Formats: sequence, C-alpha cells, structure tokens
Amino acid sequence: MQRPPREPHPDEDRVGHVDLTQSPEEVLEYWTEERMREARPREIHLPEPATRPDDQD
Amino acid sequence: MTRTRSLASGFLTFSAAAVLALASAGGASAAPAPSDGKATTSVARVTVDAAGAADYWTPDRMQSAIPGDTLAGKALERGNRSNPGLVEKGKPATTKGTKGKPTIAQSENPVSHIGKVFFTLGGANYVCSGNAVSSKNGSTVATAGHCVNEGPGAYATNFIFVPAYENGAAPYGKWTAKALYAPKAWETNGDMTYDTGFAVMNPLNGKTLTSVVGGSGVAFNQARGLTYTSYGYPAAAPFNGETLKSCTGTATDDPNNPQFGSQGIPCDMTGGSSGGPWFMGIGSNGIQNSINSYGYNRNPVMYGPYWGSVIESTYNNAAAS
Repeated sequence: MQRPPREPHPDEDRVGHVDLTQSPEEVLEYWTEERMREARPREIHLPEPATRPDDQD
Repeated sequence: MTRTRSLASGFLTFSAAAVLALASAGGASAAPAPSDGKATTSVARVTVDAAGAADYWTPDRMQSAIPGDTLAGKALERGNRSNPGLVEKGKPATTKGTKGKPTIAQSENPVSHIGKVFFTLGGANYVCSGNAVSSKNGSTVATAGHCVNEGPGAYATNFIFVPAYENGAAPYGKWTAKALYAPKAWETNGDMTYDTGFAVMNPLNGKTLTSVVGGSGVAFNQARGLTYTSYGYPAAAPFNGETLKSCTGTATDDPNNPQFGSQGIPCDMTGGSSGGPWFMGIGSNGIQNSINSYGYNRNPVMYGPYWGSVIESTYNNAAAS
C-alpha cells in the first residue's frame, strides 16, 4: 500500500541542512596540525558606514 | 553589500641566506660609534631589514630556536670578560616603560563547552568559534551561519569542534560533525539577520558531546538591550587564536544596518571569534542567546543576530536530529 504524502513539517520551509557523509576517521585524518595552524579565520567585516554630509567639516 | 575578508597573518618562508644577503646589502656594520672625545666608549651597531626578519621567523624556526643563555654560556667559556676597572660609571639614568595599546577583549581560561571549529568551504580551510548547547541529541554545537554555509551557497565539509582548545591542546578531543543546519534565509540569500548555524556531532569514544563537556542552555525571543558576555578565539592581530577571549557589555541596535535586527556590544575581537557564544549576563555559565557575527572597519563593536523564531526552529531541528 502506498503511503500517504507526508505532511511537511512547519519548519521545513525555513530551515536548511545537510547530512555529511564523511566518516569521522576521514575527517580527523584530514585535520593535520599544519592544516589546523594554517586555517584562515572566516569573518564578516562590513565596510565603514559612509560619513553623512552633516558630519563633514 | 557585504565583504568577506581574511585577516589571517601567515608567515612566509625566508631563507637564512637571504637574511644574510639583506644584512650585507643593508649596510650591516660593527664599528665603534663616532668618537665624542671619550676614548673608552665603544658602541657596535647593525642595521637589519625588519620585513625580512619577520618573514624569516616561521613557526617551525621559532619552535626550534636555541635559548639565548646557551650563547651566554659560550661567551663565558671563551673568557671574554671586561676588566672591572675599565667599566665606566656615569650619572644614574632611567627610561620610562611603554604600555602597549590595551584591548577590550579579556583573556580567559579555557571553558569546557566553548571551542574552536575547523571546516572546509570552497576548497579553503577556515577556523571559527563555537559552543556546545543543551539538546535532545546531546551533540549540538552553536556557531555562526557563515561558519557552516557560504551564505548563500554550499555547506562546509571536514567540520570539527575542539572544545576547550588552548595553544594546540584538545583536552576533550576533536569531535566530527554528521549534519549542519542553517536558516534557509542564510542558506539561500546570506541574510545577515539569520547568521547562525548548528552542527550535530558524532559520538566520540561512545559518548555524546554534552555528556563530556556539558552544554549551555539556549533562549530565543528575549528582550533587546540585555547585558551579554561573548567568547571566542580571535586569530587576527593583535590576537593569535590560541587562547580564549571574552567581551562584556550592554547590547545596542546596529545603527548602520538596522534592517538586520542585530545588536552589538563593545568588543575588539577579530577574525576567528566568529560563531563564539553570547551568554546573557556575566560569565560563561549563562544561557546562550546569540553568536559573534560581524563588525565594521575601525569600529570596536561585535554584532550578533537576534535569536528569534527562525533561529529557534533551526535549533529545534538540529537538536532533535
């Protein structure tokens, strides 16, 4: 018998996700001391706010 | 428009031969200073290239450098000692010390549930901060959306959480992720309003994450303008990412981009602190209510997203998976 269509969870349309398929061993092997040391900080730095004309001399 | 920039400062390799060549070309000398009429005064000087020296000192060279007292010992063995009778005495003189520019961020001892996260995005390896939170699965870590997903774009791979990291030590091990969660608005549009992500970790040695390191409570839809303490591992200068730092302050709205709904506290933590937890009140035992998200150039304020119902749904999905 065919299953009835599943009711979508109310959160499904606003939450995304991914299941990672890598094995823990594979990931731990990837992170050598050198790679951890050289990993770059990931950051969001926004441009300085524009100076308003009133603030200028 | 947002701009992503890495502030990581890498050491470039530089050969010892090149340093020597620079010293020669730069006019290295070891000659007596011009005479001022005192025949017994002798001062040696050498000119070095500052950029060359900085490049020369790779982490490997700094680690393997020989303690200077070895050289002092060799000098003593050679018997190169001044005749006490020739040591001149002059007027007492002192020079005042100089203090470095203090940072807003304070140094902290490691906290068991706060750590660094490492991951790969777009072929590059990155580092952020994160915090283990209370959850049904006992395996959920809160961090920034931009530390799990390109926003918009692909999810990270090779994701690990290292709780209580300090100077390379991982006292509670390295925990690998099995799933990553982010609000759809972050995943598809990179909407700064929702810059929060959650990672669900695999068990380690048969135990769940929070059964080992503990987990912070979480709160959503709270009042604005609360006092927070934020934590993270800033890696860009003047920090080095090797120790935990914190900032405390009362949150105020972002005056530049009010549409984000974010709040900021005084804080000069740099890149690498992204994703670190904001706890309500003082200290690391509080309830988590945001994360380190973004800042502005030359403005020492750290902003965090308002944890409303969308981020709450994201947490609920991750925590129950």
